[in-house]
Amino acid sequence: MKNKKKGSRCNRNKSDPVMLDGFTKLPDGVLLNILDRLNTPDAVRTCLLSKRTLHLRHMLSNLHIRINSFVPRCGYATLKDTIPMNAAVADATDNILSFRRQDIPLRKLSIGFFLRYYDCLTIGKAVARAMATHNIHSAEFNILTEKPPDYSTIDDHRRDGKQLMTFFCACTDAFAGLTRLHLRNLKLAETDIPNIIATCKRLEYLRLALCQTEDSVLLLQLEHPRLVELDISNANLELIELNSLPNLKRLGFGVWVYPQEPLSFCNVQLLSSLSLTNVAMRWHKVIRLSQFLANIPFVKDLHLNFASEKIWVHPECPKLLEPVLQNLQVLSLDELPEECDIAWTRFFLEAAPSLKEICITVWDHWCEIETDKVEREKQGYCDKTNVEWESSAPDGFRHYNLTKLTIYGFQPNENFTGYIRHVMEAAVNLEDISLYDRKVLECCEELDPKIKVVPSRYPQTIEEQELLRKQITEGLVMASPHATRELAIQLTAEATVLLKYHQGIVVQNLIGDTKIQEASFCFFGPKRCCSVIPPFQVHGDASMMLMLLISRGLASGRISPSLFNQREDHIENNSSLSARLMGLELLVLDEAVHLLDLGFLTDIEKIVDSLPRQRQTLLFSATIPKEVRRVSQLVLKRDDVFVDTVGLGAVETPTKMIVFCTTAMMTEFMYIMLRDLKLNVREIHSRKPQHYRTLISEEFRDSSRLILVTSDVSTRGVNYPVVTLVIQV
Amino acid sequence: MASGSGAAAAAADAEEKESGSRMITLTSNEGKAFVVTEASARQSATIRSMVDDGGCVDKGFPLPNVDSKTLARVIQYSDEHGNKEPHTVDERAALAKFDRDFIAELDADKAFLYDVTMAANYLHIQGLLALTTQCVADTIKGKTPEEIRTAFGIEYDLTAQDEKEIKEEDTHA
Repeated sequence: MKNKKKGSRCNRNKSDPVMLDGFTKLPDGVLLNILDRLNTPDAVRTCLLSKRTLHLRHMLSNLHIRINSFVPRCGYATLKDTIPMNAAVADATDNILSFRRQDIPLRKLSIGFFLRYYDCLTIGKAVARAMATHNIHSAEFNILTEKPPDYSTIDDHRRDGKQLMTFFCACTDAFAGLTRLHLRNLKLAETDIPNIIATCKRLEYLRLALCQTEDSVLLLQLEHPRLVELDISNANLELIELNSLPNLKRLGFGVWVYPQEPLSFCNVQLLSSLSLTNVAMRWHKVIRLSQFLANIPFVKDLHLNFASEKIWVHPECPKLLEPVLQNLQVLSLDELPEECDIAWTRFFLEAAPSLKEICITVWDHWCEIETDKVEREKQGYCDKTNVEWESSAPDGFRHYNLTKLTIYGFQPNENFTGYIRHVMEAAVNLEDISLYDRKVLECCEELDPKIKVVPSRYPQTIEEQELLRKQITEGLVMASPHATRELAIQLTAEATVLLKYHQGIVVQNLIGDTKIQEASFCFFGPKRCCSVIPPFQVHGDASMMLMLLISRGLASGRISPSLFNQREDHIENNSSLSARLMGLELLVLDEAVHLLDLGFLTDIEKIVDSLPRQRQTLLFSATIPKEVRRVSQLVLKRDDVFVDTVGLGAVETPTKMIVFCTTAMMTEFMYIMLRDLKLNVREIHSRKPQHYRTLISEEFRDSSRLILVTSDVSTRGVNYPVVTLVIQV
Repeated sequence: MASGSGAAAAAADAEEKESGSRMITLTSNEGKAFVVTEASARQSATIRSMVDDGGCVDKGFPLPNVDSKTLARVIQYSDEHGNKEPHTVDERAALAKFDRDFIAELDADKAFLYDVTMAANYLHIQGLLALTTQCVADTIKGKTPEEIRTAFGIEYDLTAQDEKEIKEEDTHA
C-alpha cells in the first residue's frame, strides 16, 4: 500500500460516464463484506480510493497478509525480490494492526512470511500487541523458509531451525495466542517441538511439513488440550505417541521410514478423521488395522494413500476388524497401484457396517514413481503384488448403508467390472456409482518419453458407456434377490426410451420398497461428460397421461405383503399421488393369475377404488381360471372385449416348455422327478451357482426341444423365444 | 406398517406440506405484488423471522427498499434455492451452474448487481449476498488501484488533509 496510491488523478476524467459509481454508495456492512473477501493489502488499497471508503481500512475483520500480495509490478518475483516483499509484509502487519479499531472483533488474522529475523520480530511484536488489545478469534502464522525444500541442504534446514527458535523465544507471547501454525523445512533440536507445542496454548491447528528433529531422536510425545487438527508429514521419527489430545478430530500423517507402525494413540477420543500416506518400501511391515486402530474405534472418515507403490494394509477378517471399523462412514483409498487388482478392498465393506461412501483412486502417478530398475532396488522399492484376500462374509452377504461408490482411474476390465458387480450385489441400497477416467495432473504432461504408459481404455463415447453399463449390470438382474425390482427399473428404462418423442408422457415406477437398488451410473471422462440414466422425475402436469402397470414386478412373491401395504398407505396418505392417479387413463393388469395367487385381491380392489371410472383397462393372463374372470368383472367394463391369442382347441405338441415352481426345493424335486422319467430336462434355482444358471439359461434359449424347471427368482423377465408351453405349479 | 406410525407419518407429511406450500406475498416499493412459496421466502432471514413470529403472513410483506426489477431477480434466486434441496451430485452441480449463470448475468450490469446486493443484504439472504459480494471482490482482485478506479468509476475526492493522514500512518513503522 506504500507505493500505489499516487498517479491516479490523471484517470479521473477518463471514467465511463455510463458507469455510475454505485460501489461507494453501498452501505458499510456490504463494503466490508466485499473487502474481507480480498487479501488485506488489496482491500486497503481499495479503501484509499475515495473519501467514502477511507475509514473502512481500520474496520476490516479478516486480515490476510501474504508475501504474494507484494509481488513487484512486473508480475513475478525473483529470489532477490523476496527481501523487500517480506519487509512489506512486516510493515503492513504492523501498520494495519496498530491503527485498526479495537472495538471491532478480529475474526481472522493470517500472516504468511519468510524466516528473516528482523521482519519476524516486527510481526511478532505487532501481533502480540494486537492480541493484548483486540478481540482476536483466530490467529495464524504460516512460516516459510526462503529456499524451497528441493534446493535446500541439511545445513539450510538446521540454520532455519535455529532461526525459528530465536524468533520463537523472542516472541513467545505472540505464539501463545496463536490458533493456527504452519511450519516447514526445518531441522530442530530434541526439545523444540514439544516446547513449541507447550507454549502455543491456544493452538487448534498445527501442520509440520518436513520438520525433522536431529537423527538421534526417534520418539515424539504429543499432548495438547485444545488441538483439533494435526498434520505431520516426513517427520523422520520412529514413533509418535499421541498421548493426550482430547480435542483432536482430524489427523493427517504421511510417510514414515521405520518398518513398524508410526503412531500410537492414547486418550484421543474425539478423533474421527484419519488420513495416512506412505510410500511403502521393502522393509515396511504391513499394517494390521485391527491393532493399529484398536484405541481409536471412533474413526468415521478414513483416507489411505498408497502413492502408487506397495499396498501396506493387511486385509483381515470382519470379526477382528468390526470393533475398530464400526463407526467408519467414508472410506477413500488413494493412488492404488494400477498393476494390482482391487478385490481386496472389499474387506472394508464386509467389516464396516456403517460405511456410506467408498472412493477408490487407482493411479500410477508416473511423475513420482521411480522407474529405473537399479535405482528402485537400491532405494528399497519392491514389486507391486496383488494382495491375497478371500471373502469371509457369509453367502448372500448384504450391506445396507453403502450409497455411493466412486472410482477414479476406471478401466473396462474384469478387475473393475467384477468389483462393481460384487459391490452392487452386496450393497442393496447403493444409489450412485461414479466412474472416472485416470487422474491427470499438470506435471504429468512433461513425462519422460522413456516411460511407456498404457493408454487408458476408458469408454469415451456414450455408446461405449451404455454398452459397458449393460455388461456390468446384465447378469445382476438374475443374481440379485431384487430381480423383480430390477425388472421394474428395466421396464422404466425401456419405456423412457420408447417415449423419447412423446413429450407429454412421463414414466414413473412405483415399487413396494422405496429404497430400491436404483444405482445410477455416471461416467465422467476428463471433462465430466454425461450421466447415463437421468433421474426419474414426476411432474404434476394435469394433461399427463398416466398408465399404471400392475405387474409381477409389483405383486409377485418377492415383495412381501407388508411392503405392498406400505405402498398402499402411500397411495392413501399422499394426497398428491392419489390426485395424480385421478388423471389415469389406462390401467394394465399383467399376469393376472399371479396377482390372485398371493392374496392381493383386496389390495387391487383398493387401488381400483382410487382410480377414476373413465379409463381403459387391459388385463393379460396366460390362463383364464374362474378367479381371473372374477377380477375381470371387477376391473373391466361390462362390455369388455376378449382377445384369445391362442385360439380355442388349438392343439400343438409342446416341445419347449418352462415349468415355474415356487421354491428351490420344489424345483429340485420336480427336476429329479422329470429326469427320472427320462425326459430332457434342466433346472434353474437359487441353489445353483450363477455360472451354472447362466449356462443353462443360454442352452435353453438356443434349444428347440427342452424342458426347463425353474424357481421364481431366476428367469423372470428373461426373454426365451418360441416357448410352446408355460406351466405354473 | 403399524397404523399408529402410519398416522403419525401422515400428520407430519401434512404439516410439512402445509408450511411448504403456503404462499406468501411480497410487495415491491412500486406496489407490485409477487407471490412466492414459503420455502422460497424462507431463504430470507428477515422474512423467516417475521413468519416465525406469526401473524402477518396473510397480509403479505411490503418491501419499501426493493424495486420490482430487483425483487424479481432475487425471487428467481430464492426459488431455485428454496424450493428444492440438492441431494445428488448432479443436482448440486446443477445448482452451482445456476449460481454461475445467475452471477455472470448480473456481473454484466454493475448497477443492477449493486441493487441485488443491497436487497440481499436487506433481506438477509446469506447465499445470495455471498455470491454477489464475492463477485465484486473478484472484480477487484489482481487490479491496480487505477484499474479499480476505472472499473467502478470512483471519483478521486481525497483532500490534502486525508492524504497527509494516510502518509503519516504509512511511515509510522
